[in-house]
Amino acid sequence: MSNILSIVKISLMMAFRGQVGKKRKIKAWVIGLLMFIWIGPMIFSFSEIIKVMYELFDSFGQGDAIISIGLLVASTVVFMFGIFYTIGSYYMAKDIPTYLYMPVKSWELTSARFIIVLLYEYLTMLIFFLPVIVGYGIAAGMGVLYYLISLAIFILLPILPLALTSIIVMGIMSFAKHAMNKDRYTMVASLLGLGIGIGLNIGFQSLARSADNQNELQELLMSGKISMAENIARYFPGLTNATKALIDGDLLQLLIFIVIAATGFALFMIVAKAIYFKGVMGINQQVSRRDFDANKSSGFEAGSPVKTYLKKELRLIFRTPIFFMNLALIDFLMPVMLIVPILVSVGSSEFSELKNSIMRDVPQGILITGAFILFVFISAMNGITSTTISREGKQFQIMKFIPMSLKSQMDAKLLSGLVISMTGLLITLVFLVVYLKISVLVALLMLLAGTNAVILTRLTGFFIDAANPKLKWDNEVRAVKQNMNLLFNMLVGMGTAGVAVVFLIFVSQTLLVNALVFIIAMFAVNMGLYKLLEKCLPKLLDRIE
Amino acid sequence: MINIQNVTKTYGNGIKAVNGISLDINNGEIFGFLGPNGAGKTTTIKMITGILPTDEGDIIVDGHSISNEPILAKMSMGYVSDNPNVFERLKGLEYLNFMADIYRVPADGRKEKMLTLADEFEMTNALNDKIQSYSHGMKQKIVVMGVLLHDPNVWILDEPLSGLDPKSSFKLKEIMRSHADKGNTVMFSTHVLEVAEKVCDRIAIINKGQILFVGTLEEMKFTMAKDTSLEKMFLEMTDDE
Repeated sequence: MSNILSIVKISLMMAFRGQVGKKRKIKAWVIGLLMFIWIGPMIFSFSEIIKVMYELFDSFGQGDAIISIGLLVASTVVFMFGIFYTIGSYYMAKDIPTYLYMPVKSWELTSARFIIVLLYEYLTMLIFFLPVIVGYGIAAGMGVLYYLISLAIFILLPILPLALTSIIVMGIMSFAKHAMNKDRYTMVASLLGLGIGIGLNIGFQSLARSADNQNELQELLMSGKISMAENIARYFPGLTNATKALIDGDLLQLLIFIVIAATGFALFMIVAKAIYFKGVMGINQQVSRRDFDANKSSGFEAGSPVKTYLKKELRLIFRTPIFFMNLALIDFLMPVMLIVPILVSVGSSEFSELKNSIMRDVPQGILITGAFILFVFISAMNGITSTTISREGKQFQIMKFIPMSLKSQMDAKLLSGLVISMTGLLITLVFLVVYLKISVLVALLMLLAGTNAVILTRLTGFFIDAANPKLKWDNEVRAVKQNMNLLFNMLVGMGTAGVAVVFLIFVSQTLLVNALVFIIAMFAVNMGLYKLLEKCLPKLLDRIE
Repeated sequence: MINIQNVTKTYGNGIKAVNGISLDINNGEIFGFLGPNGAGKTTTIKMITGILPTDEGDIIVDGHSISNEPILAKMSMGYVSDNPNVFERLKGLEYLNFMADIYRVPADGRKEKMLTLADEFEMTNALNDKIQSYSHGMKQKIVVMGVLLHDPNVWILDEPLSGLDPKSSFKLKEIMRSHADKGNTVMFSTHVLEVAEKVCDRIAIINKGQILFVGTLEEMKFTMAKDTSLEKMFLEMTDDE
């Protein structure tokens, strides 16, 4: 046990190392305060939305469903994020090999890492689950017992999904020693883990659904004869008990939920004991071929400096699992997350109705601004430019001594972010255009507005990172996951999306005005920002010694 | 040729890392830059290479001011830093080609140049592997090869011999000599005084941001009126400070 606590302690110290000294402490407090100012109202406004949703559901006697939906969403998010967190924390972290020669047992090391990942997951839960607890509690007028049980559920909820994620990841990674290219294997493993996760999720759902006759179920739900809350809760193990514990204040159900979470954790420890070290040793075996043949090899071709710099940036992103998973994957994942539900609902009458109403009733200005909002949101989550200087780390000085102007390097770095985000944007747009049968003109305008959104977040991200890059890291995980610049740019993206929503609601929904604002005016804003960045970059980088 | 003209650098904490130094490093010579830890060696090298701006004075590299014509100055030099951990996920060949593009090495003869260097440093078999799979010495070699591709007139190396095996170390010293003999400038910093003693045509000793001595070993012996090793003279000179 003491080993587990020691590893947790040292891992946390490593994560927050650097936050010492008076100046840094003040900076940390200012950042904390800003985060509170931003996240506080966000949780509050989410709670307000939950309250409205509660009233809507309650009008047909299904208000309690809010709780089970909240539990399901939180469990799914913990599960999905867990794939990347666990691979990073259990396998990719630079300090892991250090523990291999220490007298530390595999289950002690993984348990400690589990606790660290759990702490990250609690932060995620603050956004995804806290508003549900508060919103429902206020709307349904719940008492003290409800809030006490909520606290227990909040603490317990991520344990089972995280244990399942960890087991899947450890299972896949146990074959790592056979892979020639460890980095590629890790990336494929994360995607495979995600695929298995989604597959299991769909499996749970179809298992729950197959038990019922859909038409009868719908009637029963609408008449309030059966509980929608319980129906939804069946989609993930243990959620039925958590739902009952919260809604009815049933302590026995809470006890069962505790047993389920504990069983999940025990299972995780058994698997860790059996296979964790096998995987971690496999991934740390460097494989090299030493088989270069000059006659067969290409790679001597000359290219322009910007092109070669761009190629270097993209290679480093795609070959570094932590960079790829945390910075680029979101651009490919978000379209999939958007497209899959649509494809799943294909054929259902509700979807055809929705589709028709979009094409018939919605003013087309909404489509233009909608594209801007969607892509400003997605591309802000892509951290390629918001960590672009930070990722250089100790190699930062190369930027200064090579005979290439900072402007050219800036262009190549911006392009690397643009290329990846635009790929995601094009996949999504082509799908939406084909499926919703959007006219070519509107599709083109959506593409331009979306491109503006992507360029904007590339530029703001670059600005944020150049102003305060995190260069002191010895571990790629620290360079991107513990880098506030990524988060700051996400907040900028959310803020911009918020302003666009306000514009849409209160100012205009017409095609012409929205096209003028989100294509022409935004382009001008982007050009201004680009020029400003070009001017400021040398000064910003000169400050770094 | 490198001309350092009355250069000063003060860090944010008010400490003068380099205090008004002037140096001329000539064509055709290997110039050793010696000094204890924290003496100002790396700061000076960083200013010559354009990594740090000077607070006062200027540095001319091969006729180009590093402040006013940075790209031209950088084009004429090759710099090997003391940290060989560069772009670890690029393959050796990809790294070399990246450097060749950045330093505008013509397409004609590029392949031959790379293969000759790889052969000299016994790195041919490893060119297709990622740099992260290299040993420390191999990383050092690939960095050295990267800056030799464009045949720079001025070659600056920060602690270049640390981590190299005896054979590679010998090879590097040989290449430094032949590069200087062709009329180019080679400047390197080192802690290893025996190397400086054997390889350098002239040396400079820096301590607390100021140059204490510039000249040949013989001149140093004459100045200090002692016929002893460089190590003893170095210790005496820097201890007095």
